[in-house]
This record gives sequence, C-alpha cells and structure tokens, in this order.
Amino acid sequence: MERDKQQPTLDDRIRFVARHYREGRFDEEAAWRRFASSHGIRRANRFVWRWASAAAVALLFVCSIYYIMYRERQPEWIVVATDARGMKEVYLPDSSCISLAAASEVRYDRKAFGVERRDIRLRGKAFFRVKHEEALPFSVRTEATEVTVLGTTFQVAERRGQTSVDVLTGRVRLEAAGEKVVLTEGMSATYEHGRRRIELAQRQSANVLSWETKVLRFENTPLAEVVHDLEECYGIHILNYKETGQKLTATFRELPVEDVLQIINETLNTEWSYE
Amino acid sequence: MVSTADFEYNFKSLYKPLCLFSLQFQGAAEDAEDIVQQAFADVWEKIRAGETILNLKAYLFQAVRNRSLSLASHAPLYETTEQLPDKPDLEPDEQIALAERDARLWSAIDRLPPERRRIFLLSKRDGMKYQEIADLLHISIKTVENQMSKALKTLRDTAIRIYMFFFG
Repeated sequence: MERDKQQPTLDDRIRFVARHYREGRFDEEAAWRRFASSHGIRRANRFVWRWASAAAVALLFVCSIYYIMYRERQPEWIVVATDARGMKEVYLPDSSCISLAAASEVRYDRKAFGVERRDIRLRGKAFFRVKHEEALPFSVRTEATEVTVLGTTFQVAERRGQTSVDVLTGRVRLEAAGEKVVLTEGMSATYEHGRRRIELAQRQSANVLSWETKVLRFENTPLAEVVHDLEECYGIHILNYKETGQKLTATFRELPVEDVLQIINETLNTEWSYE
Repeated sequence: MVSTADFEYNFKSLYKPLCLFSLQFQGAAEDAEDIVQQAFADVWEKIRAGETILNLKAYLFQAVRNRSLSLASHAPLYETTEQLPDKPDLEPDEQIALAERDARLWSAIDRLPPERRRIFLLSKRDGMKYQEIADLLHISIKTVENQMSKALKTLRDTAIRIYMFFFG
C-alpha cells in the first residue's frame, strides 16, 4: 500500500462513512429519547425551564430597553438656587454666564440644553451674559413670560406679580400672554401679571444692574428712589428714612453698604441705617 | 456535578463520533449504537452515584473502544478488514479527532440535497459505476459526474474547515 500508514486519507474516510451511512442512522435526537426514557430522564421539564428562562431573559431585555429609553427622555434638571443673602455665578455648558440674585433659582435640563435650543427656567432675578450662538436660541422662561435671545446681556427679574426685563446689550424678545416685544440695548420692559400687559421704557433705571455690578449712580435722584436702589442692590431694608424732598447726586463703586450709608448720612444729614 | 442539560448536550454532540468510532473496531451499526448507549448509561450511573469523571470525552471513547473490541473478539467480523491495520498507530487524541471528523462527514451527507445524496451513496456506498447510476436513474453520465464532484467538494470542504478549526 502506497498511502501514509499514520493518517488515512480523506477519501478513505469518506468511503468509510458512506459505507455505513443510512438515512436516520446514528440520529442523536432519537438516541437521546431512547436513553432518556430508559433512564427516567424527563426532558419536558427541561424544555419548560429552557423556554421559561429564555422568555425571562427576553422580557428582562425588553424591559431594560424601555427603561433606558424612558431614562433618556426624562429631563435631568440642574438647579442652582440662592438664599435671601446669597448671590451666585452660574456657568452654563455653552459658557454663557448667569449672575443669580438673592432668593432666586435657575434650572435647566442638562440633556436638552444646547441640543436644539438653550432653555433656562428662572424664579426671581438674574443677569444673563449669553454667548452668541446663531443656531441655538437662548430662552429664559419665568412663570408668565419667555425671553428669547441669541447673544446679549440682559436681566430678568420676577418679583411681586411682575416680571421686568432690562437689556444691556444686544436684542431680546419678550413674550407674555401672547404678546411679543423686541427690546434693544438700553430698553426695559415690565409685564404686570395681573394686568397681562407689557409696558416698555426707553430708559432703564440707572441702577437696575447694580446688585450685579455693585456700582450705584445717582444724579438728582429723589431719595425714595435712592432707598429703593440701595435695597435692591444690597438686598437690605433701609430704616429711618423720611421723605424730605432732597435729591442725591453721587457714584458708589463697589463699596460696602456701611460706607455708602455713612457717606449719605454725612452728606444729607440723615440717620439711615439698615437691617 | 454534571447537570442533566450538560449531560444531554454531551450525549448529543458525542453520539455520532462514538458510533463511528465503534465501527472502526467492529462492523455492525446496530451494535455500535447499543455500545454507545451502554457507555453513556455507565457514565450516567457513575455521575448519579456522585463519582467525578475528569475527562468525560476521553473516558467515553475508551469505554466504547473496549466494548467494541471485546464484541469483535466474540463475533466474526463481517465487514472487510481493509480499514483496520492503521488504527493502532494513531494516538487516542488523533483517533477522537478522526471520529469527530467522520461524524461531520456523516452530517454533511445528511445535508446533501436528496438527489445528490442518492447518487453519492449509489457510488460510494453501493460501489456502482457512474454509467450504472446514470442508467438506473435515467440521467446522463455528465449529470452523475457533476453531482458527484459537487458532493465530494462539499465533504472535502467540511473536512478542511475542521482542520483549520483544529490548527488555525
């Protein structure tokens, strides 16, 4: 014989297998049935288990998918709030910046922010420096109004049943109760919740942003307005104020409230204090 | 502890190789099936008695080999002996691999299209010449040749795939 003695050739093996081949012979399924029945192995049970576990796995899989999709759609709120004395700088993912006044709160959905638009919800007062993004409108929603911008600096304050918007630079659109107005640099608008009307003012009060800048400017300002601006700026309440018909002209740059009051008291011969 | 499902899996995947392995030592397919059933029954009893069988596969092949040889020594061998001389030269691992390849060839024959399988078996199993097959089936000898070469290619591809699987 010529062929290798160690390894029979493939054709030999094919002939060997073919010689014994009969259809249905050496059928492992039939053989197992014979084996299982003669050894009391119940295979139905196993099938039930296999199906049950397969079904359980499938169910778990479907549930996880649903849960993940559900989670994906759920907003993930980032909330920043200040107490009555505090003030906070909030940097947004798009590098816009919010200066949050005392007793205020902003929130945004971390997942949705910057995807198609930039939505912020506000309670209280905040000053916004918005990074210019043509494709991503920046909106500030309060309970009653919505302010939309592209890139600008402005303030939104919601207090005592009114919302006021003061624009420092750029253009801002204010929407409330179906009414829309566009505010440009230097303009202010106030929306009275009760009257459901937007009122525009060409010149905003000089000190409307003082709480943020800590710069107060008074030019022949009636004392009632000075008191109001001081209270807004420092978040305090002025005591011992009496209307005397006097007016004040002064500029205070980043001074502590004690110093401001001392200067005013010495200039006007008053005895204001604060709490 | 071997679970029933594991045992069933082993049974089904080793059944054909073991039957074909048995046929290398004795020639009767029915006896091969009985021997393999008995070998599995033996293992099953051992497992149920709490015994551990370290290499189940090697153990089963050894058991089938022993049972087949003892049966062959009792009864005269009806088949020709041409395939016998090369057996003792192979290592046990090689014998197992060979039997597994035989089982894959068997399964490949199972999967041949019915007409091609019939022609293939008439030739390789029944030893008919191509012209005789053509006459029997009322087809041209070209068709027989064509079907045979396709069948053989399928089987060789099966075997080659297995080799690559082992050495690749």
